[in-house]
Amino acid sequence: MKAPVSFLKQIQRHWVEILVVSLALIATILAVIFVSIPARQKAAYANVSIKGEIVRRIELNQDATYQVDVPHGTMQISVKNGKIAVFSSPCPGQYCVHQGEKEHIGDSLICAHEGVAIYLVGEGETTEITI
Amino acid sequence: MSIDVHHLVSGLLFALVFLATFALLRNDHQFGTRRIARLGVLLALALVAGLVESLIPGFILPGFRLGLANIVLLFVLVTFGFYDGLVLAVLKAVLVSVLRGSFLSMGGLMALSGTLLSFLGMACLHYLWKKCSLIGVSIFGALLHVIGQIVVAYFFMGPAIWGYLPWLMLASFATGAFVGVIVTILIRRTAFLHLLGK
Repeated sequence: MKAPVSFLKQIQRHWVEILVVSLALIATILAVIFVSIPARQKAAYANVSIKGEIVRRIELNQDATYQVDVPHGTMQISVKNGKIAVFSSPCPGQYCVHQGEKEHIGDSLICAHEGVAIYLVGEGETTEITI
Repeated sequence: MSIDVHHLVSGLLFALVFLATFALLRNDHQFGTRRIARLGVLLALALVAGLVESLIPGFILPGFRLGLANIVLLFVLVTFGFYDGLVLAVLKAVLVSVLRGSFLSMGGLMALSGTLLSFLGMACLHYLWKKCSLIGVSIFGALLHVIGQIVVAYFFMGPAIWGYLPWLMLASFATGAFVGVIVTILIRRTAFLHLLGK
């Protein structure tokens, strides 16, 4: 029977192996994290709500331009290739315009000044998303 | 699709049987009663381990097993050499699937490819990297076992199964280390077998 070897000695003897195994373990954990993040799906509709009430439901599968009446004027929304964007808004900050194009479920375009929220939803979802 | 799978599978099986026969008849090992008796006892041990572990349910992951039969395989590989281990690996994989009633079905083929890939991988690592400890060899074998299983499952179930691979691999780090520790203890306790065996 071999004499017992101290723990430190064993680590010194097998350091390459320990390194390789821990790298593989980290890679696996990263893979698990990667796998468990659900893939983002393309949205089918956009619900336009003003002060909490849905006023319009926009289909994202056809390219079009929409005009929505908001408290201080008219907001212009464009849909192109399944992506929705606000390209004109009466609000002073123009933050909703600068948010750019959105296409995935759960994305939103917000204009705080006009109280407008545009939520992107999937095929089956008809009600508004509670925040 | 299914015809392809079965051709692949039967080709694999014949290759295996050939491999096992070749390993059994190798000239540099004596083909004597001692070796046959030893292989028989160890095969029985591996079969029992494989059957017992198939009774333990997968707790969180379906298909998750401890790999008790791997203890026997790794022990044989280290103590009695590659050829005995190969014979045991092939026979164990085939016989366990026959006993569990999953022979030539998806489960049995997964076990077969997993066992063989893991055994060949462990043998390569053990002989090529002499300094690698048994725990490392065992973890490597457990990872390869899972990969071999998932590759076969892919032919039956399609690409959705790949998403399951990282979870099983994560679990196999733990089971591989467990098997490695047990084999290390076994080897230390039964060092005299090495003198008796050959």
